[in-house]
Amino acid sequence: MPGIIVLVGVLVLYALGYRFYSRYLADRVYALDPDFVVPSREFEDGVDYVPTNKHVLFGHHFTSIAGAAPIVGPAIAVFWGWGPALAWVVLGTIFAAGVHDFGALVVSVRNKAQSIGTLTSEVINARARTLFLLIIFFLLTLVNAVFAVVIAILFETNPGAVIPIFLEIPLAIGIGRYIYRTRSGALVPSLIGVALLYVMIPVGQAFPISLDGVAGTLGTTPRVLWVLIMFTYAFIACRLPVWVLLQPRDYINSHQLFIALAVIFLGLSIGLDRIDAPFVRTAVPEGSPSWFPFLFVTIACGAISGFHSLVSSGTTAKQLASEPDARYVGYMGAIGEGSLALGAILAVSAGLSQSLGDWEGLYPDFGTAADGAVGNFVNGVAQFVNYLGVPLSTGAVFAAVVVVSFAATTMDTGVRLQRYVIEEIGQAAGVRVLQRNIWVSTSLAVIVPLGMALIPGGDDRGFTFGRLWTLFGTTNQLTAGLALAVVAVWVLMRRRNPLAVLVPLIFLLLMTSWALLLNLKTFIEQGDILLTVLDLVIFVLAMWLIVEAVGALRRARAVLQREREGTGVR
Amino acid sequence: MRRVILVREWDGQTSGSGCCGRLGGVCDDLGNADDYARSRADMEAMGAVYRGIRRTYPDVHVEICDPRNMFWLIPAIVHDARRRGLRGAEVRAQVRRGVARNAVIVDGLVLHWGEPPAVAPLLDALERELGAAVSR
Repeated sequence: MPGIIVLVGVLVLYALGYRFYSRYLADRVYALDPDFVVPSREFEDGVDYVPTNKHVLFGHHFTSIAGAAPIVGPAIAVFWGWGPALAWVVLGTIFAAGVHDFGALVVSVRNKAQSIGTLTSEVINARARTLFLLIIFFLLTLVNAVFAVVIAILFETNPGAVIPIFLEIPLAIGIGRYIYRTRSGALVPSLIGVALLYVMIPVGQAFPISLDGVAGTLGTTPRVLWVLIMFTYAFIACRLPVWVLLQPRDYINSHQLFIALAVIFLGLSIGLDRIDAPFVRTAVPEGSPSWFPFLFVTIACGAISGFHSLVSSGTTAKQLASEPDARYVGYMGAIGEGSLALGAILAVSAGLSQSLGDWEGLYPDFGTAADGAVGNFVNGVAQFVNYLGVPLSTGAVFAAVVVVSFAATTMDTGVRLQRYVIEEIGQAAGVRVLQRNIWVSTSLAVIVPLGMALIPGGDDRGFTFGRLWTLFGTTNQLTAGLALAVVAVWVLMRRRNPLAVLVPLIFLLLMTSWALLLNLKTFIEQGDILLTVLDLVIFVLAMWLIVEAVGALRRARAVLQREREGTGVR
Repeated sequence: MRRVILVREWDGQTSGSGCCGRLGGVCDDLGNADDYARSRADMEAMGAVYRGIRRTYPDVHVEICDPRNMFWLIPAIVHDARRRGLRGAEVRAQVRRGVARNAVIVDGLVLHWGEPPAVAPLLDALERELGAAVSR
C-alpha cells in the first residue's frame, strides 16, 4: 500500500477525532464552561498567569511534549506489523492520549492550575503523592537509561553524526552567550546554528569517529564507552545553568522538530513509497514477546504518555485564556504527538526497505528490532530526504543528528529533574544528605540509570534495550494511569459519565500489569536478578496505583450516593 | 484592532525534551526556579510591563509570546506591520527586531527590544504610538 494513503487516511481520522470526539469530551464529559474564570485571569500577573492566544499556547505546549520517544517506540513496535502499531497509535491518540492530555489540563485549570502531582495528593490522597514521586523516579531513571543507549547505538552505527553533535555543544553555548548577553534576536543566530550544524554533516561523514579501536584496547564495546561518555556529559550538563547550553540548544531543537516533520511528510509525498512491512506479522520468531500486551507498553509516547500530564497541568494551565481553549490545546497537542509517531511508523515501514524480504532482514527478532529501531528510523528518513535531492548517506546522518539532539536534551533535563526528585524523596524520608548534598543527588541521578543502561543482556549484544524500553513504557503508562485516575474522580464528582476516562484507565492498567507479569516470568526464567527486582518494584507500584484508583473512585461514588440520599434524588 | 505583543521566554519550555523540560511540572513545590533565574528575571520585568499596559489600556489586546514560537510570532509581526502600511525592508526590520528577547511590538511596530524596558517610559512611548494609531 502506498504510504501516502496511510498518511492521508490517518490525518483524516485525527481530524474526525478532533471534530467529534473532542467535542463530545468538551460538552459531555468535561463540560467546559466559557464563563469559568480560568487561573490565567483570576491570578493574572503577566509572569506565570497570562491569558494566552490558543495558537500561541499550542506552540508552547506542543514543542514541550515532543521528543524522541514517539520515534523510538513505534520504530520498535512495527516488529509485530505496521497495522497493530498504527492502530494503537491512532486509537490511542484519539481515545486515550486526547482524553488524558485534555483532561489533565481541564482538571488543573479547575484547581487553580495546580500540577498533577499536587492534584494527586488532593483528589486521591496524600499517600498517592508518594506513589507519584516513586513512579516518576523510575520513569526518569528508565528515560535516562534508554536514551543513553539510543544515542550510543546511533553513534556506533552513524559515526558521521559524532562531530556534528559534539560541535553542536560549543555552537549552542556560543549562540547562548550571544543572545543572552546582547539580548538580541534569536531567530538569525539559531537559524545560522542549524545551518552550521547541517554543514558539519559532510565534515562528520569525512571524519567519522569510531570508538572500536579504543574499546578493543580497553576490552569493552564501543556502545559501553558511548554510554559512559553520555552519562559523563549528562552529569556535567545538568550542573550547568540552563542558559549556557540547554536553552540555546533548544532554539536549534525547535527548528529541527519542524524541519524533521516537514522532511518526513514531504519526502513521503514526493517519493510515494509503498509500505513493504507486513500489515500484521502472523509468524513472529519463536521467543518473541507477544504483541498483546507488549505493543501497548512499547508505544507509550505517540499513543498515550503520562509525561504530558506534567506539561498540561501546572504550566499550560496557567496560560489558558478560556476553558473551551483546553480542547484545542490539549487534544491537538496529543494529535501532534500522534503525527510524530505516524511519521516514525511510515519511515520504518515504507522508507526503510525495498521489499518484504529486505524488511524482514532488518526485523528478524525482537532483540534486533529493538536494538536497530532508531537506526531503522534514521535509514527510513534518509530515504525520504533522498527524494529531496540529498544523498542517502547524508540524509542518514541528518536524521541521526535530529534524534541525538532530542535524546541528549531529554537526558540533560531528565537527569536534572531526577536530581530534584531524589532531593524530594530525601526530604520525605528525612535523609538530609540526599536533600542537601547536590553532588550526592546528582551522582545518584546518573549512576542508577547508568547501571541500568549497562545491564548485561541475554545475548551477544550485551544489552537488554528492548526490555528496558518496555519497562520505560510501563512506567510512562502508570504515570498516565495516575493522571487518568485523578481525571476520572474529578469527572465523577461533577456527576458526569466518566466512561470515556475509565476505559483508557482500565485498559492501561490491565495492559501494563499483564506486561509486567509476563516480563517478570521471563526475567526469572533467565535468572536476570536486576531486571526481576526492577520489574517487581514497578509491578508493586502498579498494584498500589490500582488500589488507590479503585479506592478513590469508590469514595467519590459514596459521596455522590450520600448526597443523592440527602436530597432525595434518585 | 490594537495589539501589543511582548516577546519573552517561558521558563521551562524545552523542545525535544520529551516533556522532561518542564522541570516545575512534577509537583508545584518541585523543580528549582534557580535553574531559570535569568529567564525568570526577564519574565518578571516583562510582567511589570504587562500589568502596566493592562492597567493603562484595558482595551488593548496584549499577547505574550516565547521567541521560539516562530510559527506564530513572525506571521503575527508581518500581518500587523502590513496592516500598518509597512512594506518590504520596513517589515523585515520589524521582524528582525521583533523576534528579539523582551521586544515590545505595537501593531507591527517594534518599540523596544533587548534589555527589559522600564515601565513608565515604555508606557509614554506606547501612549504616543496608540494615540497616533487612533489619529491614523
